[in-house]
Amino acid sequence: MLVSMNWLREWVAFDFAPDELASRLTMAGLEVDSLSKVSQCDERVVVGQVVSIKQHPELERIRTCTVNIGEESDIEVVCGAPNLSIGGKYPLALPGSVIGDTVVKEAEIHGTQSLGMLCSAAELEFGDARDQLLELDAGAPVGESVNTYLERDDTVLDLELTPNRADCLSIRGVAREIAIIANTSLKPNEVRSLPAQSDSRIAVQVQSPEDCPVFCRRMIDQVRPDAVTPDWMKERLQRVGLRAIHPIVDITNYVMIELGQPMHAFDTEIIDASEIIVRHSRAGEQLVLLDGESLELGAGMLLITDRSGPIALAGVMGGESSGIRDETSSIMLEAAFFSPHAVRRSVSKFAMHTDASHRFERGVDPSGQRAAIERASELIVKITGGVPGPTQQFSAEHLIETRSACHVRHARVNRVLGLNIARNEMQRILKAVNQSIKPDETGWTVVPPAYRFDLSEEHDQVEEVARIYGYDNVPSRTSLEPGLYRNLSEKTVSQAMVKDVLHALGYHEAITYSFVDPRLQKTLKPSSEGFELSNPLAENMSVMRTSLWPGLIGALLENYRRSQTSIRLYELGTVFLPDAEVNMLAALAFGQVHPLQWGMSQRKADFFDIKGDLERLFELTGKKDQLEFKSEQLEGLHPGCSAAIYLDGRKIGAAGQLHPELLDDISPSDSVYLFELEIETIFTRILSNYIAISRYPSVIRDLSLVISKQQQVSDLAASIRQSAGDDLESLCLFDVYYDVDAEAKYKSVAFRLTYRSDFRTLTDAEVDASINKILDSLANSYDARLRV
Amino acid sequence: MMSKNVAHSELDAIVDKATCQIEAAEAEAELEALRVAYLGKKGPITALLKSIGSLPADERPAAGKKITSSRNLLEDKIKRKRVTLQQIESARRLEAQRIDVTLPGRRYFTGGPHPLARTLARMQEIFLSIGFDIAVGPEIEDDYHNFEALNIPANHPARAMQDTFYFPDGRLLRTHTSPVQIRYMEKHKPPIRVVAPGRVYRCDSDITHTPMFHQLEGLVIDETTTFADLKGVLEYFVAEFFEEPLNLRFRPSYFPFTEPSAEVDISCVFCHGDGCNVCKRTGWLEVLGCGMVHPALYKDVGIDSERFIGYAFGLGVERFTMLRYGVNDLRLFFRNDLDMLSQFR
Repeated sequence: MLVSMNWLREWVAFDFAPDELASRLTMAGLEVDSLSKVSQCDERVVVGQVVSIKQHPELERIRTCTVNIGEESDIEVVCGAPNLSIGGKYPLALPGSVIGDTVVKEAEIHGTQSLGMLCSAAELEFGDARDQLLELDAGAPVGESVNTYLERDDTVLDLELTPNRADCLSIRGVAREIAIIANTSLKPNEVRSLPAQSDSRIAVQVQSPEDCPVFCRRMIDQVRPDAVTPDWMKERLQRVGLRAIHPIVDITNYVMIELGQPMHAFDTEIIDASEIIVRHSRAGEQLVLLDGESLELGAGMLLITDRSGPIALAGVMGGESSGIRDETSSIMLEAAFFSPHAVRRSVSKFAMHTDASHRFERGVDPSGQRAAIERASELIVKITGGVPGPTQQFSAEHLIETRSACHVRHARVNRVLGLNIARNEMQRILKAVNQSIKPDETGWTVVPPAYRFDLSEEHDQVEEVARIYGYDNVPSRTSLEPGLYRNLSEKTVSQAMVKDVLHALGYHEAITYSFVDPRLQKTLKPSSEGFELSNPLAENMSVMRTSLWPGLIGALLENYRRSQTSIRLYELGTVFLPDAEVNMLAALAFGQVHPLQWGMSQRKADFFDIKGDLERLFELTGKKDQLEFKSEQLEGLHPGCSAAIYLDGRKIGAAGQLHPELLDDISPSDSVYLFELEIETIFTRILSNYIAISRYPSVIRDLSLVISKQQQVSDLAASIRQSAGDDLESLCLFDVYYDVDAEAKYKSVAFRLTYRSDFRTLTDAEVDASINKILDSLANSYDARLRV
Repeated sequence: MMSKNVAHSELDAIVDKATCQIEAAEAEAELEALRVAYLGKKGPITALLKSIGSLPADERPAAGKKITSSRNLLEDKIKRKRVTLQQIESARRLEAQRIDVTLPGRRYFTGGPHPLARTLARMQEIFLSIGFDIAVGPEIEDDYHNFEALNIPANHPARAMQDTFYFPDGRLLRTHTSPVQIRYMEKHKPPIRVVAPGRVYRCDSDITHTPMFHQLEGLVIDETTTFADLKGVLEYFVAEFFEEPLNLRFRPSYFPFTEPSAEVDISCVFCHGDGCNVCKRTGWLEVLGCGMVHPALYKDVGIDSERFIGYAFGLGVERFTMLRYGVNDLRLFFRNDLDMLSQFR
């Protein structure tokens, strides 16, 4: 909300410079987002009055006018603006004044000596209008500096108010806070009541008093349709962000800004003025609003109606057909208390937000309607003339929410705040915010003012005391006791350890959105059913992920498009399954395994890179040997390169090559490898248990075997281990070769077997016997033979 | 018949010649050949030794001594020359193995944590070190834990559809980490000292908002907790996080679940209060919200609000990360561009 300092000064006296005021308000809980000085023009721009106009003999648009600037002699000025009239008052820049980037000079223009320049609002940097001269009021003092006349020496504060401080949504409300800060009181500026000059009345029937407990109105007749909004009001409205439209509308806006009470004016020559009815809408009713939008109201929206139908969406916006027109001469002023519920209902149904609804939703002062009517009447009679009838008020007292008393304990306030504020000081603070208080033994019974909806219980008063006392004046205390923290068990693998391993393996951590593109997720995981958002921001962010792959693929594409030749990413995060949120770890590898460099040949990542990385991860847990990769056809993966990951016989994840034909964005020749598993399976580890090292030498034998190309090497290895017996210390597959030719039937594999006994030196004969046993078994079971 | 002088001069000539040749030798093999030639069985020194027998008996010892001494002299020269030659050879061989140490080192790709994860981890470490527990909660929440239990009444503007992501069954994506406060209080009795990090979601996307972001929530409840403790703990945290003492400014504010509530500004980490673009020339940066736990939160979880007083705080992880590392665009965090990620290892 924008507030002008000059306007505030009309309500409260203070000495703060703009910066000081901004920081004091901010520290009192009224955050000042920014402050801007109102632009001023050159001091040599004065109010000038056109005395006579002479048309240029040849040029149609050019006229020479004589302007009175309050000096002994008038001056001649050449002007091309269309809105020039005799008697009119406009800003006149005298020679030497700076307008924009140029200095106004005495100059000969089209054959006439021009001694100054008449200015538009844009030229003075007061506004956007540049085709017309800025027209000033008939009463503007000729010769006075325009800055002085328009009170341009002003600063506008932009307040970002929290929703609990509706009482500050007005000049008066902010002034009240300044009075507290400055330890003063508001100027005796309360609104005078304007006596009725006629008996013009209008009947009102409030059918929904629970949503409209106060409805105040006044008829004003014989309003002058040709009246204009005075410069001072236009200026103030402009400074708080409102455009002048029509004097009556401007006045209702002015009063809303000044007092915080939204108002509306109806043209009583258009509405059926026999009776106004405040009621809820019925199904099928319609209303065309002031802004031209037509609403299908539906049932239950709070309306102001006449006998023929709706004339305003209560508390939000008036209807087009009943609004003020250029020729309006009779009006009904209305100021009501509409309940926050009722207004919020309309606001959320029609997704509309107006200055009025903003205030009603947060709560206006339920005792402020009559004052607003009186203030607006006073201004209307002064500016547009008119004969006011009596101010009429409907009020359902029992339905008006009143501020109830609450007991505040002196000791409790100090205990919560960690302060020791003396009793009389605390009492001063509680009183300063316009509360009535009654002291007792332990504290006070406090009744807040009607406009403070946020004060109802003791803890609200605690905040009020802290706020006025100053959060800055509360000391800070550090009592950091030894806490609940216990070191992680050594049997726990921390997330940090897992990450460190992945980083060392070249993976970067990615963080991707939890909602993904349903098409991508369906492509990758056809059987998954992700939760769908009711109100997604975009179609490609509308379904909760059931796998981390869609997000990682998105990040892959982002980098792929940027021509990265090596991409390794992982993410640790939640996936959303029908019955649970599960923490997963997923990773992706694409492209070169090493950075391009001398002395190492380039090679692209393949399945065995990610498999190796997974094995490295499970070394953290001591369960690498319990890890098993089984060839299974899994969703999203290349049918020939797809494995389920098992740990201790339980399926915990998947690994493989992204199906090369799934994504159009990735060239089929670019292979992407992925894995995903339940991260919990890495978080527990087996403690290391030392096994004594053998004192005896080892015997090494290499076996080169030819087997069927389809044969899984893991079966072969298992068979070797079984046949070899306990003295086989290690078995290492060190070569696999097969012809890429699809017709080839065989492949050759080579193992290194290391034998060692814990008890004695093994003899060649013993090892030979074991090798023979292995070969026999392999020949029988796998048709394997030694390569010659 | 060899006279004494002749023999002597002959020996000297042999020694001189041999010495010259030894000094001139350029390779070990050449040296070995000289050794064989002069000192071998067929060499001149051996011949002279053999000829001693023909000398008069009284001259023999002196002649023998003289010849032996010459032989030892030559042997020593050869030995020393051999060492010299070996040293030269070794130096040559090593020189041939010289490498260019300025060539680039052999590298493998290395990764690193996401900057947000790094910030979250640092934040958790700081709180763990001063006795906080860590709690997590579900990201798909129910209305009760996300709003109602946090004293956000049914009509509160924060509930409007434009802020919260909903599912057809009425559940929602949590809009803050505050529901973890409630879930923690349901399971634990005071004293409570906990932080809850995690993802949160709001229906909002522009240059300064992403529909998903991260928060870290803190909750402390004890019998002697005060607003002064809240100030103290946050001052400590901010100083630890930014590794410099920064001024904190507590401004009165409003949150439905705290009373009193405060927004906390820190003196700008870039200009230290002088005013710059980042702090919009105010010298202050708004970084977190906090306050004393609203007694309404205690009701359902059965904590006695007279006996226990609590404070809570919530901070934006993205904001802290941006300030710490000078990242100027929030949206970069979720693009996962390797050129950005690789700057954090």
